[in-house]
Amino acid sequence: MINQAKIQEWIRQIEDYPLIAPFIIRRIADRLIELDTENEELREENYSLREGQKVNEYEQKISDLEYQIELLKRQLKISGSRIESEFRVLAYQPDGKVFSFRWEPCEGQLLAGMPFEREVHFLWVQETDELLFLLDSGRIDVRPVGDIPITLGTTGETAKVEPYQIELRGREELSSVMSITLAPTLQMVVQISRRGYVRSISMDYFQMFLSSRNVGSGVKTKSDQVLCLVLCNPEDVLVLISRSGYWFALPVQSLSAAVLEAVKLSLDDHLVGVVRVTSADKEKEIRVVSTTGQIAGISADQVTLLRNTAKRGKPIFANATEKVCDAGLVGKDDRVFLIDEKGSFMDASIRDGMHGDRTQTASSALSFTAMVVLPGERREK
Amino acid sequence: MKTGVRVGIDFGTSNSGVGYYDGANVQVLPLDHKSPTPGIIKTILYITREQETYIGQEAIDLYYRHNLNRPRRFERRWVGEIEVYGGDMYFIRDVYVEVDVLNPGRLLQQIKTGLRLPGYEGTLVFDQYYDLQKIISLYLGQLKRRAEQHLQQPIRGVVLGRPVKFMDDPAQDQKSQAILQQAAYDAGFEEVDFELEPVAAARYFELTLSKPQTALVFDFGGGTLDITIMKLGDPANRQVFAVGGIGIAGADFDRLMIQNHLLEYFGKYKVQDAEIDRWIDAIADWQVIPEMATPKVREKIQQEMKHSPYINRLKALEALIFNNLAFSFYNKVEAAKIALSEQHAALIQMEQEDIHIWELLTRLQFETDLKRYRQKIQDCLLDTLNRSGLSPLDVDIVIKTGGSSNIPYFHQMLVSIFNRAAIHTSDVFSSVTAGLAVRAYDSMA
Repeated sequence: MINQAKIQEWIRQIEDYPLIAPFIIRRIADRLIELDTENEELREENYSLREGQKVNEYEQKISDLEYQIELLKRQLKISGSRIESEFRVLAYQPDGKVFSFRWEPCEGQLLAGMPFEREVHFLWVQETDELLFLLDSGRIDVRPVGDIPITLGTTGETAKVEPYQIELRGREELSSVMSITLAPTLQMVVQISRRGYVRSISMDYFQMFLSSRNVGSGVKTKSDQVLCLVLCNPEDVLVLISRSGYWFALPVQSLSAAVLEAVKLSLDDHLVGVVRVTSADKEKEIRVVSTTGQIAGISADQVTLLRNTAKRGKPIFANATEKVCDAGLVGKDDRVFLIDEKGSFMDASIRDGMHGDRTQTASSALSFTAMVVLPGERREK
Repeated sequence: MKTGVRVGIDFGTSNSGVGYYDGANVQVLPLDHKSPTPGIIKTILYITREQETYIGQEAIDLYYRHNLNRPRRFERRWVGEIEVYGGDMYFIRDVYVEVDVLNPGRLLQQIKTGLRLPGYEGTLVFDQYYDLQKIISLYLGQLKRRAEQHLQQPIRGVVLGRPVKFMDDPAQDQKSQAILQQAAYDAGFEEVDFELEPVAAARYFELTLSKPQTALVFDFGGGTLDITIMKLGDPANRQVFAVGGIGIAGADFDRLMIQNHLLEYFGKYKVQDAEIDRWIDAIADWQVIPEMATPKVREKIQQEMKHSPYINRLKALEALIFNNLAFSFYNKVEAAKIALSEQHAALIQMEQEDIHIWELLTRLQFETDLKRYRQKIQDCLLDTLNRSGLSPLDVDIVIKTGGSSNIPYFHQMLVSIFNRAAIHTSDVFSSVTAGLAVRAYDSMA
């Protein structure tokens, strides 16, 4: 501490032994420089406080946070003013075409105007959602649902407009589309490849990837390709479904930041779906549908009780020749529709669930391409 | 036939050393390769949670690596029962302490001080109790291993230096020597002898003498001041006239500097709370700091910050206690003390976490601080001289050894008393070690 008594001590020392004067002056001068620099910084800060620059900066931050909160409120439906966000369905294909339509499905409806001969995936979204488009190169694109025009009608209507086209570079393909509106409330992102290579990414890192618009392909072999990203928490379990009809439970906590082979697949097999199971999903089940219309259920409770069963998959169907086309998490009030190769809907809801890994057959002469789960809570609105 | 050589070990309060004499040359063994002065090994022992032990600079480096900004997790642990009597009431209460379960190791410094404290028996390191003998044997064992590695031959025996008095009470003094002796046996030495540290320093100095002289050895180290008055220069007729000592030395001066100049940075004279004031005072005793790092202390300091106008000082106190910066802090204080022996001013500057210290100390200030000790030291010196039956004029040479003997203030004191004698500064850190090595060789021959 510098005070008058200390200064007197320095002077006394210099009087007693003048040769020490340069040393003491040098140290005091260095200190003055340090304090002067600090003083300058404090003065700058003081001015910006007085001029309101800091206020503006913080107001901007607050407004950004308010925007994010608003998005979350909408997603979680906790808005005091009950904002009635519209739902819609997106259907997307590897060539980057995204079809968007509002939909009140019923048995026998026909989804017109889509080329169902190609692989197609469906996604339920809200108008307020932010979407992430993942390309197989690892590149990502982020845009709000509102940017994508309604492109399709239903029940025999013809397509009103051209599908929305995601910009692809070279031989890129669109691997998956997901909503990232809830990302700020979750801790991890897991990247999964078709051949079962997996890595976990902390949300902080993921934000970095988002700003650089590239998350990396997450594959280790040339023949492999990224399947999807899944937002989750460390205590969740991911259920991976393979084309040849095997399921694998993967606790998120066990995953590493390195790309590692998490499941063993036969040479001709690959993953087609990933379902996130949380502790709140114990009453639900994972519904798996084959191309021939075989439907199987895996109890979510059973999954959460299991520890890592990843290395050795468990068979889903009794018949080993069944090929899985889609899978999803289904609650007891949810409705499930299967879509065949002509774009026709079939109601495959099972009111009492399918607990016990039972299977049943949806009757259709055609091959099924996808499954859509209509959340029960949405219908109650 | 017995195999192996004998060495001398100066087991000091702050620093230690191992010496070997082959009849022609004295070597102070360079056993601490991580230190800028490999012949001087800090008397520091670091015991990890896995019960691995490290000494010297390696111990310090590991301690820093393990501890700086590490996380802490406190768990409440039962440590025993306490019997409570009051009037006609009697009951037994359980006693719990908060234990940092993530603590990776324990650093023990100034181990030798334990030999000077009558009540000190040992300490708990995690769940294992280490008595003083075991702590010292671990340190000596490491010294022995390193020395054998350096000499490429086994070491059979050791001559250990000891202060003139561990304690005033002769029975207690004997007990302390017995603990040190047994610790040396436990460390693997087969033969253990003792020599007074100032006598050892004198024997080393004797190698340079061509005629008999009356010498006063002023051995002023980290833990004690030891004085010996003896006839030197004729090995066949060596004679010790008197020995004396006092438990004042370098560690006390460090404490003084902290008390007089640095406690203000941590809220002294500003913070009103009596309990926090006691914690601030405790900073002067560095071994207490790790024990203070409990959730209760942190909560109390943070509570005080809410209404105190001296938040920056409380932040500094919190940082010192909870970021394991105490060791770094004490090193800076010690460095400034050493610098003040060579120059007339020294700067203590520390900018770490929330600690911002800038203290320019002068030698005059330091000497003002030391005044309270000077009289005691002078009294001890004159008393020893008195008991020897000699006067200052009979002393031909004063041999200074030990780090604190370099402090100009005490040098002036010696000059003023022994103005006729030649004041000789021996190698302050190694002369005792070298003298013990010579003694070890002589006793083997």
